[in-house]
Amino acid sequence: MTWETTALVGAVGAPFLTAVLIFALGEHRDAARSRINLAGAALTVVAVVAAAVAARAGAPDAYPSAGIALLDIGFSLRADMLGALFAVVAGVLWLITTVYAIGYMSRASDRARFFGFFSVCVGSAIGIALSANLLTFFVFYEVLTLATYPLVIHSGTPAALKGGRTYLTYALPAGGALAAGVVWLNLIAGPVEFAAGGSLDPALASTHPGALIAIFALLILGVGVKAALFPLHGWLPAAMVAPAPVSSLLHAVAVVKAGVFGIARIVLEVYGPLGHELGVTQVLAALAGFTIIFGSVRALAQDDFKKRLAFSTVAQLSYITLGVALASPIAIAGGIAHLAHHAAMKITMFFTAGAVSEEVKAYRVSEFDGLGRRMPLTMTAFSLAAIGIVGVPPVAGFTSKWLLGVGSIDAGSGWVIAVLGISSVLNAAYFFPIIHRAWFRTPKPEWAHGPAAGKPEGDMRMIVPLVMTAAIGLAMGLLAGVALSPASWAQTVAAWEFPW
Amino acid sequence: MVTILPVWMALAAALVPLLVAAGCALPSTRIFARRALPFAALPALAAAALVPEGSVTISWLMTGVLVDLDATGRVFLALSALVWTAAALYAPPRASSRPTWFAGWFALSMAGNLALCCVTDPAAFYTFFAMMALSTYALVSSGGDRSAGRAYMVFTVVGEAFLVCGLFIAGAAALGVDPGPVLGPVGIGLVLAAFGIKIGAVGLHGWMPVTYAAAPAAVAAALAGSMSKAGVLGLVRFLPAGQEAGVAFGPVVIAFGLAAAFYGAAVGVTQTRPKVVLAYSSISQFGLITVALGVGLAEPVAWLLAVAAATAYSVHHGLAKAALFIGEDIARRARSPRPILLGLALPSLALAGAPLTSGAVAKLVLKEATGLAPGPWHDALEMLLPLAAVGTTLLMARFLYLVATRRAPATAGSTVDAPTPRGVAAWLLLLAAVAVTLWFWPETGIRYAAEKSLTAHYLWVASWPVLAGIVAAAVAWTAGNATSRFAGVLPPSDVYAPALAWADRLVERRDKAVRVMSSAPAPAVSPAEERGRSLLEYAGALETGLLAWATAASALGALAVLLLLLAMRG
Repeated sequence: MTWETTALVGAVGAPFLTAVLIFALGEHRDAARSRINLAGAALTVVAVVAAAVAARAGAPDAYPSAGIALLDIGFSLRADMLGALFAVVAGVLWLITTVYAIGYMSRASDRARFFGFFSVCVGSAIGIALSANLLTFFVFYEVLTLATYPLVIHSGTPAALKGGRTYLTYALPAGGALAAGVVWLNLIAGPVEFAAGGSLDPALASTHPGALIAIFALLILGVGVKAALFPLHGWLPAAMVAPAPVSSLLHAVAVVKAGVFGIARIVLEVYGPLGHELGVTQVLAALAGFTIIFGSVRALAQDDFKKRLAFSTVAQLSYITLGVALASPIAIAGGIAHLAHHAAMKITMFFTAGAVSEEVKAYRVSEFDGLGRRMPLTMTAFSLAAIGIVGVPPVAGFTSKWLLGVGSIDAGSGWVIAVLGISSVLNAAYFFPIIHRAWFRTPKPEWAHGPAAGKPEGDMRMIVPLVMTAAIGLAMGLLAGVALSPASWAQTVAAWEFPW
Repeated sequence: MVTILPVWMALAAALVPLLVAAGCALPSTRIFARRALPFAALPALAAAALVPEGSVTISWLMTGVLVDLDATGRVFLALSALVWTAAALYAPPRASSRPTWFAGWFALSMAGNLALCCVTDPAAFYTFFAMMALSTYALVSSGGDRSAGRAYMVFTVVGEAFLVCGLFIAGAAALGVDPGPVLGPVGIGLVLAAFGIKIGAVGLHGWMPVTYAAAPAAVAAALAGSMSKAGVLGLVRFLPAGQEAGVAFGPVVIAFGLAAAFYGAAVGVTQTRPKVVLAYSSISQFGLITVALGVGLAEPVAWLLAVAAATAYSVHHGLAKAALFIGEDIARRARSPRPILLGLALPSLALAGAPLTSGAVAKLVLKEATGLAPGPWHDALEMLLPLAAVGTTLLMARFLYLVATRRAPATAGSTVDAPTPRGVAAWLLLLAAVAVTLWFWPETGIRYAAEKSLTAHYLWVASWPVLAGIVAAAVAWTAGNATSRFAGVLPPSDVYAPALAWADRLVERRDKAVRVMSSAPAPAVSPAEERGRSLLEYAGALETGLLAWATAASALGALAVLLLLLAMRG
């Protein structure tokens, strides 16, 4: 095996191996489990970074790949720059989340089950990122669907079970639709490998236009649930009953981004120019635009902190969908960059939700008055992430919004500008009040003088990770022009994805 | 000039206040940072004088920052640095209950304002503009008036949204992906609306009177003297300079400018608080700057002259208005306002455009630009601009009258701090700047205008509106009761007052509802805002309906898959 192949297999294999070891260790060996989990996550980071290095070295037509023959359509992995970006985001944030989760879950029950399935989820997400074809993608996608369920219902309360049921109600039929789409496409076009600029034969547009449109709809229906595309988004706010680390990594990064990443693969690397020719990407863009506004309006009405964040996620994910659906390399770069940018910012906010609920038992926005005095580091990190989502520079959210806005003009879709403008105002309307409460309102008497003397503001295993992710979010925006930043990386990817 | 300083030094110098802001965040450095605040803008002032003309792209920073210190940017940088220094010197450290908090936001806002003068690419300009505008919320609300803070924030956020949308279009043009003119009609409209909010254009001015009244004097001085000038700079930077694209907008902009000039004066004289009168004066004065830019749009050949006029007028108005806000506060704190009134007379006369003041020079430059206005506008402006000066004189008379007749607080306990020597020094510095700046301006065009303003003809042209205004004010004063009926008939922020009051009631009711709810189990949906209720509830109902659909779809989906598999086998 070359080092590239090793990296690929390692990136996908390490989390699964970690999961096996965690299940084998059982419930009571906490220290060993934590050590194995951290080691597994660290190994994954090394592997995904190596895969990214390999992807960057290879031209798009010379991907390093590790193939495993399975059936006659192949089961294979490969590292390309688009997949590597998602894999690195998932891997690095998994390592940080592991530290956080060890702190957050220290008093919870069923930790082996929790951390085991958590690792499976991350492994599938990285598998999704590094899949070379639709079949491999589909397999990992379904594993992810199933492995998320035990995490959603982790607490076992009636609310959690209900959230889990809602999740399955949406996710299982989506899996069916995806399966149908994949099979049907195979019947028409043969095995579908992902390829920059689209892999379908342009001639198909004239021979099977109806079928291609229907398949597109099935595929998007399949991945649209995880991408929380309206009207498939209803499970996400309901899934907020899950523990904070699940909301943070899975419901802000790995699971939901697997959905939008799937959309990116399908739009850019399966359909390519065909999508614009058939008119399906325009419909997708319109749907994404509507989801952006809808999610933001719904977020306004939420007093439950995590629910407000969840609806914000619904809206923000559609930025990515919108970007890849527009016919402009700049907009595509904006969408892809947002995949990383939103990850760093939103994980910070869910980390905050967990840290705040654990430390001061505040769950609702209306309970946040003066929280900035009590938990200054936490709320500073949160505020940075929040203004980033709103699109205030120099935090990363602005960078992606900028590329999207400029790109939409480039694509000749000026209406997107209105969506972005309205969305910015709405984002400010639901995030600024939180910042206002935390920093500008009179605190409760017991919060006024900050954390108890000589004590940190919370469990440092939770505070340090969220400060780190906030700093990453800031750095990704401030240093967007650096060659290895997600924004620059996305621009390189977009140049390949949009050669026509 | 010896060109040893690289151009990026301008941006670095402008961002020095960021160090102060960072210092305020750390417990061990906050005392030092607070002491350093008044000196934070001095590097920028030095950069305005010493950094040579030129531009450089910092490609690693954000989406690539174009540092460009051109003649216009340099003037705005110097003006902003001067006003912020005076404001920081005046900012009373004891007045705020959270002095470090105040100083930190003050420095952040200062950094944004200074830095936006040195960059010309849309993304970077927006970055610093947003840094300035959003940080200022903390400064405005430090006065304790939540309602005014809210008005400021709402207008700012909407303005930022307009701006970023307009700049998307400008950004696309800058990348050369949009083959058309620099900005199309939509882009021009957005840019005008965005910066129009900042300069209090008629219809977009609702935040200005309440905000200026609520903000501490130093903040009001910085807002009126420097931050709102960033709106002028933005217009200069992003309107399609001397291109056909803007021609159709020219008359509209001129009309808006004229409307602001008279509307500000008319509403302003009915006001009963000195700071509100000053705010309306700002609305009126920005109207004149708008007129000049409108002429520049309508007549592409006049653009450069219009920019020169807008720049000179901004310097004149910025310094005078900052001096007025700080002087007003000193008069409020002084044992007797009488000697302070003497000092306030200078910037007041300058704003009215009296001979021998900076106003006379600035108005002459403005006149040069408006002289190039197309056809009918030319004659209309000839006639109307002097009348606007009469209005300004009335406004200033009203202001001085209100300051002179203001009664000391009735209760002994609520005495205010006496002005500090440092604060008075800051004021004197501003007064000196008002007195000399435009007379010793290095640029030839301004120097020429300064000389020309001393000719007999222009002495008269500048004098009669002021004399007419003074006579009118005197008549109004002697008429006494007849005119006092008009005092206070319009609330600050006039037509916006009902909207602002409505927003206050909304928030109050929501807070009350939340207090009631806090004892109940966690609500799925917060007490929805009154007017927003229908929309929000509709969206919520849609969601519930969707779950039912999803259940149905899951059955349907399973069936479809089954059928497909059967079909494939067959």
